[in-house]
Amino acid sequence: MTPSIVLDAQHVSKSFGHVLVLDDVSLTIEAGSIHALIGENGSGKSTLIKVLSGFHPPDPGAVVLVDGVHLPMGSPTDSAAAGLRFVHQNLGLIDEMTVLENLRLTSDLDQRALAPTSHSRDREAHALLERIGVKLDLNAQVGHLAPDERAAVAIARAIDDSHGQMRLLVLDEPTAAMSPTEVERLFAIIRELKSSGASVLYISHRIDEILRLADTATVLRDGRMQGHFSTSAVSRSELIGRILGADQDEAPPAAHRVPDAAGTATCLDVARITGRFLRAAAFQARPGEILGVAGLDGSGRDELAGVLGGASKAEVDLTTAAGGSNGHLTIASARVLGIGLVFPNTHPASLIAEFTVRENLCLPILRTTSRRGFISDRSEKGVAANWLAQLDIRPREPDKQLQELSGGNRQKVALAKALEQRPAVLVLDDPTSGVDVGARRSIYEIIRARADDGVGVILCSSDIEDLTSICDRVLCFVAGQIVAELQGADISEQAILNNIMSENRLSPGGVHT
Amino acid sequence: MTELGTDLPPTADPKPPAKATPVRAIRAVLGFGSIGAIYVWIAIIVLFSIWIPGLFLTTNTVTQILDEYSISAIVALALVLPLSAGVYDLSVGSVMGLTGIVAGALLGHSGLPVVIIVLLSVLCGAAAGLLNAVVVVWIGLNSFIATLATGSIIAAVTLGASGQVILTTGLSGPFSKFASTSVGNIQLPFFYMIVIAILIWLLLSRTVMGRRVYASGFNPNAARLAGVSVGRITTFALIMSGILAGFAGVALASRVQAADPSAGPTYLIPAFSAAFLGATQFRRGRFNPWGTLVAVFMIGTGSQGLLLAGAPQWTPQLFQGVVLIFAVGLTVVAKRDRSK
Repeated sequence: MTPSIVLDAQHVSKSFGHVLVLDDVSLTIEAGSIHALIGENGSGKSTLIKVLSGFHPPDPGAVVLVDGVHLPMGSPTDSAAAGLRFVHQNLGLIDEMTVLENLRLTSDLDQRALAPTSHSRDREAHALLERIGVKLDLNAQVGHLAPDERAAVAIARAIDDSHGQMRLLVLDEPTAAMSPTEVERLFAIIRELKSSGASVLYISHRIDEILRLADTATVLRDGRMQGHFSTSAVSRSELIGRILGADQDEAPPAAHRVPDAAGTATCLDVARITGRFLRAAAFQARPGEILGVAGLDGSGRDELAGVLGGASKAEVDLTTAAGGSNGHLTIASARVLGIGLVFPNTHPASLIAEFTVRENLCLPILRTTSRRGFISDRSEKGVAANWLAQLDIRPREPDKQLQELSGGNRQKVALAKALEQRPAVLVLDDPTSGVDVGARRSIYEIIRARADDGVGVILCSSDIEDLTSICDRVLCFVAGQIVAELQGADISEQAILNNIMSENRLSPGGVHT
Repeated sequence: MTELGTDLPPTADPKPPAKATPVRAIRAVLGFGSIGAIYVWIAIIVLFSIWIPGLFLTTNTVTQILDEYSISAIVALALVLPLSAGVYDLSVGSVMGLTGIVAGALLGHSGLPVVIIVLLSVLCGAAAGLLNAVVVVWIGLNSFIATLATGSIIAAVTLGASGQVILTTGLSGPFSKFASTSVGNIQLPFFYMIVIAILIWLLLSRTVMGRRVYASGFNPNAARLAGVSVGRITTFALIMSGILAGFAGVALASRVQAADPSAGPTYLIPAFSAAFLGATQFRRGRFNPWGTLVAVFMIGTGSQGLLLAGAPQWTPQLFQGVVLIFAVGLTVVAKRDRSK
């Protein structure tokens, strides 16, 4: 007899308006196994999960069986009653509450108001945590826990059986904000669950994690199923090929420029950066070059821009043409060193939504647009008119409130704000996030034009397209260190993914390629 | 990967800039969305002109309203700076009481000239502002809680220092001229108020400091990234509100010729109402002096009208609440409709 099937979903399609987001997807999970669902952002993973959780009703024709029993679609209550439990990426915890209070939120631990003494409640909560092999102080505030401990609380809450038995635990990208050691500890929890007989559906885009953790995997791309694999029988590269699709190699040649020669001048020499994720990373940037920085969340890629711009704290030892810094960079000292930072327009500290375009542009340079403390309207208008024209920011109204602009135009304002300070090193963090396709192209042109003017550009991005489209050199970060440096024609989506997902290649003490 | 974008209709180019026709410009300035409170104010004036024409439509009513509400207006103006900078100052009422008592005590026990006494009292207001800044900026407490606490401490100190009595010795002399002298039938506090409003308006709309104040209030992190030292801005705003509230306290003591240790706190809530209503007028979403003044006098006109009409004592307060909802609501609804 074949092993029993805990979840059998067939012919799941989902369209929003005219767009088919899921196209006849099927998913079969054996009881007691860890099954992975892999795909890039936008591949349909989250939509499939939302269909299973009852949040989105699927298009007609879908059949979902849980333990062989037909699951009514489109009802979160029915999904929960059938034993499907979900831990979403943001975990849904309340940081200001304690572990116990969070566990009680959805469970029965506190509902039999009269009966249980706090002692027996504690015991039940401990038992829940014990099932996943975790010991936590029940009175600790959840906001103070490490990322893996927070995940543990969310999982413990999900597996609580007081509303009926759990059949399948669905974990949606639980490792997004975790360091490698924290990921290990989470994996231990998941394996513990498996050994107790539970079935797990694990959603991720990190291939190495999946190969290590899961028994079987389903790949999604553009809403279509790309196959069902046993992780012991599939190779990394085959899996990556499935995720990206076969046509990836035919992508238009990128506009990389190979630097003239090694040993050209540097405009930024980083001897060492150590921060929350970064571990003694060292690199150099050259004037006229666009240096890409790739890495998963938590690899240090996401931390680097803020550190170089003085916005987040880290131990830094670096030199630019304007001088050096050894210790902590501040916003002011980064500015003196000629480093300009541009956060993505979706970042809350990037721009002031309530300010006009002009006010946003001029905020860092008020000293030059004012005389004796009084702002000169004329010089502000001059600055604004210049940038509105130069970067083609629309509408051409300097006194429009920033929040009335589109994402792409906001991003251009953020760029202009930094460029007005004439940085020698321009550090960009996810410059195309929240930006549509057309604006993306013009932002690439702006960046390239600056590099041509001799600015050293450092482009940190979670969007591989940014890196393959305009970067001359790409540093791949894993676990806070640079594991590979790609140049010119070597820069491809596949090469970048291969490197940034290559946590296995890290030897404990050091890193070199 | 770019196909994913196709689920949306191709994003149209941002609308071509609307022609700044005179009609549109006038509508933007005079519409309900910009100055709803002024229309409500006019409506109130019309209402009382019809209801009690003989009592209401007199120059006496005008001077009464201006005299009665100018000090309230100065307190409300004191709040404009800290609120713009993103912090509350709930201690302004207590600071008013403090400076009034300081002035009263100095008048009773020292022979200092009036100018010096006024300056010293206002300086106490500045010191109270500095205390707020220490707690809010340096210790890092939430401003709502911090100034609630300092306000309570200041009120207690004031009560203790006054010996829990209303001071009157020496207040009726030359000191009373400071606030009760009339110029063209209107008492001096009105003119103080106008000067203060102009100064705050210049500061907020024309100076580097003002721009930084708004930046700190709207988005302190973005302001910091742009090189603004938010702590310094907050300190400045809190000291300024201490000075202005202190000034209002001295003016009140001078005008009524008595220093009442518990006089200040009653000004707190109306001042906040006016400042918040003011923020919905003229400069959308920004606390500003002119909107605040309109708010104070709109409420003042209605309250005075009700008293003249012989309405019961509790009606002005009821009126304040209703009008606040109505005037802010008018502006908010007009803005919402326009953005649709």
